Amino acid sequence: MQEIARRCIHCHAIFFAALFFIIFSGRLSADYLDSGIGGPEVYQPSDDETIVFLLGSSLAIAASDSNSTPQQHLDAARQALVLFRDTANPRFLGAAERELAAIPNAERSAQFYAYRASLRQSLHLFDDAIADLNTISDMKADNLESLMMRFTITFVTGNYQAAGQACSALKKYGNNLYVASCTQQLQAVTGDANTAYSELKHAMAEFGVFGDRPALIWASGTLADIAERAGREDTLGLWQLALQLNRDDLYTRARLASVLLNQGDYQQVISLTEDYLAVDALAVSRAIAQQHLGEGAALTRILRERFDEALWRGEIVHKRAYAQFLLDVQHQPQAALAMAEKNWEHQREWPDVVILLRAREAVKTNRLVQ
Amino acid sequence: MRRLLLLLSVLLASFVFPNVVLAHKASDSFIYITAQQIRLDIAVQDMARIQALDLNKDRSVSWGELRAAEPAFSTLLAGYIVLSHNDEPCSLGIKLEGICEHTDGPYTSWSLTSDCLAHSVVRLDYSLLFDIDPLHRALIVSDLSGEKQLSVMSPSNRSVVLGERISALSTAGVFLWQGVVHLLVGYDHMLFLLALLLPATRRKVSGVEVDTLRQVFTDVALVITMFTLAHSFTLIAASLGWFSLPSQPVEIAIALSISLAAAMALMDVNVRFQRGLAMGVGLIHGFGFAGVLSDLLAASPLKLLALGSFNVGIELAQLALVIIVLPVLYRFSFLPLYQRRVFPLAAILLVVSGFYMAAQRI
Repeated sequence: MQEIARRCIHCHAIFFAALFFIIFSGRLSADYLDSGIGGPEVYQPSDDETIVFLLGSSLAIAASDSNSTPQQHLDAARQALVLFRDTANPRFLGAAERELAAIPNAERSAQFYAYRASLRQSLHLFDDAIADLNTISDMKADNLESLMMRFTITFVTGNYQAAGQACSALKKYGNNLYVASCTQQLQAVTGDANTAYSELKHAMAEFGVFGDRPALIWASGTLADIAERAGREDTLGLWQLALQLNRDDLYTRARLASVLLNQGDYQQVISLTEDYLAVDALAVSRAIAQQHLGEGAALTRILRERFDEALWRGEIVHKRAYAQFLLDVQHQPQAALAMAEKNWEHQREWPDVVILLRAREAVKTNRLVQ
Repeated sequence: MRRLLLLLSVLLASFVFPNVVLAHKASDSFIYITAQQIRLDIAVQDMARIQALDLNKDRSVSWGELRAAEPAFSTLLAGYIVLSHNDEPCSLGIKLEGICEHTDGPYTSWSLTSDCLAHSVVRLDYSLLFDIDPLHRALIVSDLSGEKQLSVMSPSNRSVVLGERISALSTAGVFLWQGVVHLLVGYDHMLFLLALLLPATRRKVSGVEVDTLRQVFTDVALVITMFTLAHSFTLIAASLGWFSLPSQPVEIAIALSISLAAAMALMDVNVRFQRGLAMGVGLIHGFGFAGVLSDLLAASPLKLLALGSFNVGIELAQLALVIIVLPVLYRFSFLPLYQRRVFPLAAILLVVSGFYMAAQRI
C-alpha cells in the first residue's frame, strides 16, 4: 500500500486535470444553453392583390398520378432532372426520386440506373452513383454517357486510376476531343499541368472551331481549369471564353467569379453574380466581393441562415462554398479548415485544393498572430 | 464537375446530367414548438405542389389566393400533421397567420394550437409532402422539454416525441459504451496501448530485484491514466471549439505515436519518461477522438455528461484490458524465449505497424 501511495504522489496531476475538465465542461454547458426558438417575422400583406410568389415551373413538378408504366415514370424522371438542370431547384430531384422509386425492381432497365446514377450524383452520393454505373456495366450496357459520368465522378473524387480507365474506354466512341480533354485533365493532376495545357490546346487547334460545338465547349472549360491549375496568366481569359460559349453554365460562372475575386476585381464579381443569389457558390463570391466594397451585410445574413438550415437538416452538400464562406466572409479559419477537410474527403477538384490550402494557411497565420 | 455534366446534357439529348455543385436550398418546412402553439412555415412553392393556388391562372400567387386556399389547406394539414398525447390524438386549431421570408423565398406561416401542448410530453407525426417529394424534410425546434430540442423529420422518420427529458442515465450509458467500443474497434488505440504495456514485461539484467505483478500493474495503470487525462483535455478543448488540428496530421501523428511508444519500449526507457510520453501523445489522440465523437456529441443535449462518460468508458476499457492482458504477459515475461525473441519481435512489429498506418494516412 505504501508503494501505491508513494506512486500516487502523481495524483496531483489527476486532480488538476479533473479540475480542468470541470471548468471546461462548465463552459460547454454555458455555450449550449444560449438557446431560444422562433422563426422569421410573420406579416400580412396589406391587400389581397399583393403578389406573394411567381409560380414559374413549380407546378410542373407536381406528382403525376397518371404515370403508370415504367416508361412513363422514366420520362417523368427525365423531365424532372432536366428541370433541375435548368433551375438548380432540388425540389425537382425529389420529383425524380419519386418517379424512379415507382418503378418495380423487375422493370429496371439500364436507362433507369443511368437516371438514378445522375440523381445520386446530384445529391453527392458518389458511391451510390458508381454502384448504379457498375450495374450498367454488368448489364453490358455501357455507353458514352455512362462512361463520361464514371469519368466525372471518379475524377472529382480523386480516384484517378478509375478515371483513367473510364477515359481510355471512351476512345472507342471516336470523339478525339473528349478523349483529349479527359486525358489532359488527368495529366494536369497527376503529371505536368503546363504540358497538359499545351497538349489540349494543340488538340483543340486540330479539332477546329467548326467541329462538334459541345465537345469544344467541354474542352475550353477543361483548358481553363488546367490553366488555372498551372497558374497561367491567360486563366481569366479562358474562363471568360468558356462562359461566352455557354452562358447558362453556372459552374463556369462560379469559376470565373472565383478567378476575378483572386484578382481583386470585385465590381466584375458583383455584375457576374447578379440574379444568382440562389446558387451557393455564386452568392458566396458575391458576399466576399461586397464585403471588400464595404457592403453586403444582408447577403451575409442570408447565407448564414442558409448554411445554418443546411446544418440543421444535416446535409451540407456544398461544403466547398461553405468553407469559403467561413474563411472569407465569417473569418473563421479553424471552422473553414474543418469544412474544407470534410469537403476534401469526397471532392478533389482544383478549387477544393485551393480552399484547403488557403484555410490551412489562414489557421497558421492566425496562430502566429495570437 | 457540374460543367462537365451540363455540357454532356447539351451533347446527349437522350440523357440528363443535372446541376451538382451549385444547387440551392432543398424543400424544407419549419416547425417551431412552444407550450403555447406550434408554428408551421411551409414554402409557398411547396404549397403549390400540393394544392392548386393560382385561381386566376396568372402564374402567380397573391395573398388573396392564399387566404382563399386556407380552409382547404387547413383540412389537408390536419391529415398530415397529428399531435397526440398518451396515444390519444389531440384536436388542432389550424390558422393561416401570414407570410414570412426564409432564405429561399416566401413561406406561409400557420399556427397550430392544441390543449395537448400543456402536457409535458407529446408526440408529433408529420408526413406532409413525403409522397410527392421524398427529399422533403421538416426541421423542428421545440422548447417543450425546457431545453432547445432540434429534430428532422423525413420519410423514414415520421414521428418525434417532444418534451421528453433525455435521461442523464441513458446519456451516460450510451457514451460510456461508446468509449468502450472506441477502444475495442479502434485498432490504433489498441496498438498504442500494447506499446505502453510492453516495457512492463521487460526483465532487467539478472541480479536486479523483480517487480511484483502489483507493482507492475500500478506503474502501467498510472501511465494509462496519464494518457486518458491528456486525451480528455484535448477532446474537451476541441469539442468546445477552443482549438483543433487538421485531421490528417492528427491521424498520421497517432499512427507514428505507436511506433514511438514501441521504439521507447525497445530502448528500455524508465517509467517516468513513459508517463511523459503517454501524456504528450494522449494530447494528440484527444483530437482524433473529437473527430470521431463530433456527430454523436452534436446530437446530445447533455454534452458535459456525454464527454465525461466517453472518457470514463475509455479508461475503464483500458484498465480492463490491462487486467486481462498484463498477467498473461507478466507470466510469459519470465521465459527466456519471451525476452530474447517475443518481446523484441512484438516491439518491432508495432514500430512497423505505426509507420505503415502513417504511410496509409498520407
